[in-house]
Amino acid sequence: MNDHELLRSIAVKDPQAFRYIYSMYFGMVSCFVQKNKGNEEDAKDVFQDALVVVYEKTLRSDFSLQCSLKTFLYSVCRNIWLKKLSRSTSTAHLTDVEEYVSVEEESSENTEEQEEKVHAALQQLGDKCRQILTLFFYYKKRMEEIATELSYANADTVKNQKYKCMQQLKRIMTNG
Amino acid sequence: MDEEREILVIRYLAGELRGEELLRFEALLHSDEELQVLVKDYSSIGSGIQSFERKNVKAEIGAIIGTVSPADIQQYPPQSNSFFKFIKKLFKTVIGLGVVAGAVSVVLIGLNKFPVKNKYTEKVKQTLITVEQATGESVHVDTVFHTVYVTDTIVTTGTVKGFSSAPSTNDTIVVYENELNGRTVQQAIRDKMKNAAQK
Repeated sequence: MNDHELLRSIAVKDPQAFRYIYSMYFGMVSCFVQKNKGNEEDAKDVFQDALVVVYEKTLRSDFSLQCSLKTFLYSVCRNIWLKKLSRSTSTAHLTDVEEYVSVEEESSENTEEQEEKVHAALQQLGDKCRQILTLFFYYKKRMEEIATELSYANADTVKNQKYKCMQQLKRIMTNG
Repeated sequence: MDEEREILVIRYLAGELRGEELLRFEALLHSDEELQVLVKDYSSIGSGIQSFERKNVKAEIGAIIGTVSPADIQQYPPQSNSFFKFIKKLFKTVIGLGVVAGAVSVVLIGLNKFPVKNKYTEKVKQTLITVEQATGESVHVDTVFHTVYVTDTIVTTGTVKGFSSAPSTNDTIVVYENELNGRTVQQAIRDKMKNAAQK
């Protein structure tokens, strides 16, 4: 399986692809993390986060791999571990085990408290609403696609439903 | 609400807008209050929804990779198979021992202090004085190769076949331990010369 085939499989959450990537590259990430003040458990956590990043990249229409998947994955893991290290130490110098590339990161301006508030509100929201909002905000699906996936009559129905869900979510967040 | 507009906001917050598209959006954002509210809402709610689903996806991936056996994880850095590893190690050991033995031999030979002490070297020492007195020449004993070198006088008494066609002061007569047969070194040298001359 080449890198592009792997990315296509990751985009549809094919378990075989995730298992293959883990068996091929976890050793490398584990070695890197352990060389940089981490342990096996840290390495597992970093690797899972990195796979989520790779998965999210495959959801973006403008994403194209400019290096090998191995290098890309290593670079993502490196960024994640550097960020974690920076939280505990003021200066974090890394010992690399592979070459890396610059990887664009998605950042959130929300504080942890704000995030928790949204998470709590989402838990209280009905399944359908949660699905609509997740498909729209995380999976970046269009109304027509959501209508097909959740068996709504058409895109306009979804649009109205989404508006109601947003209002409901805001209400929950305001009322606590 | 315009769906295209919403998608644009989401893409803007995800940092996916580039060049002209980004400039156009930022200009609109500057002048459109409704868009500003939308961006603010989507920034906090959208980001919260994303991190919520991210946790779910992470758990899903964690469950999948949790099924991979540790034995299936490729070692890093990659290692060759055990047979080649063994051969490589053996080769290194042999080479290493050879180098050490060679170095020690060179030093000991250079110093002529090879730790050989046996009956032969003792016998040589005992006869040294006798040989020197009989030949009137210096005698050199090499304990490393169990050899006695007697130079000049003995070999220049005549042509010695088997040693050199034109004997000189540099000629050497060599007597090995197994050639002594109870004789002194001096006697063995004389017999050897005699035999060589007869041939």
